[in-house]
Amino acid sequence: MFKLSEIQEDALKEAINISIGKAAASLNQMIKEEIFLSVPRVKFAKEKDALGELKLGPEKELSYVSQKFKGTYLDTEAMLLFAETDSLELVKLFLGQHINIEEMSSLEHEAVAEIGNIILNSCMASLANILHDEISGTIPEFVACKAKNIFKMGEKETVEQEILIIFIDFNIKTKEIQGYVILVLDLDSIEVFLNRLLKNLT
Amino acid sequence: MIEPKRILIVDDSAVTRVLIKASLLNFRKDWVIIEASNADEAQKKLETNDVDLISIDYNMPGINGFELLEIVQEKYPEIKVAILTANIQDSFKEKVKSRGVSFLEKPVTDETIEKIIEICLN
Repeated sequence: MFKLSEIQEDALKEAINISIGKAAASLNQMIKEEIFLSVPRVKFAKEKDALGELKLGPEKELSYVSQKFKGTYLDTEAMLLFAETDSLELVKLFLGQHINIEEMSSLEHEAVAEIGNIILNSCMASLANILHDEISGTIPEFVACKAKNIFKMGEKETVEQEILIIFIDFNIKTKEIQGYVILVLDLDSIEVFLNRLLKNLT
Repeated sequence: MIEPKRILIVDDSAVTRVLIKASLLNFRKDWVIIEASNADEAQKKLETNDVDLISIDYNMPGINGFELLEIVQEKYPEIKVAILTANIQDSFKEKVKSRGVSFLEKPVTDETIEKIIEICLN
């Protein structure tokens, strides 16, 4: 079983803190509200067991945006996740002053996807800059599902595989909106990623 | 009096197109905003419309924004171009700047819109 050394975990959390800070700044620009971030939590788990980390009931209705990013040193799936009711509140903050309610409703999923695109790209681009890497990302995918189905979108064998998951909680206190950024890293490529990170951060 | 400008927004996100259009018209009511959701549609719009500036997203299905930038510079060298993207990697910024065009970061803010107007007018 793969285990992070103290210095590897410290470097990983520092890099994620820097990257998510940039993403929070982008979200702040979009909605003009202060964003509070948690310390990143790093966890090795099977995908099917990862839900417990989110402290969400399995039947909770969620919206999430997912994008895959790949470079020389980095291979990850990044997700931005909200309770469905919170994502609608976020869309209102994002678009409220520009369009009317009817138009907003028809663009809700597109708006969440674009918020995800901006936040996830901001985060992953900052990480790529730390790595001095060039990464490419897929088109953001919007998914609405129950919490219990988040990590069951892939094949059965993927769900059984152990992966490194990084969770960052963020909230917008004045609006009681809470969300999560989740990064899923494949263990096959983690050594290369961590070695590069340590080289560039220390 | 400044002649109204014609701007082509190329972005697969309808939300971003709505935001840019609404914000631009807020600043410049008489400007003409043309929209395209991908590079192919953008090329068709360029064949049938006079355009002063084209704002291009990078990450789109099919031909990406950088490839479209190369096509536009080759076929329409007189059109001003801005890349407007969430892909803020240093390496990508350098690639864009090496083509002599402006790099604008998402999210779209009033400063972004002012910058688009400035590029268009200069």
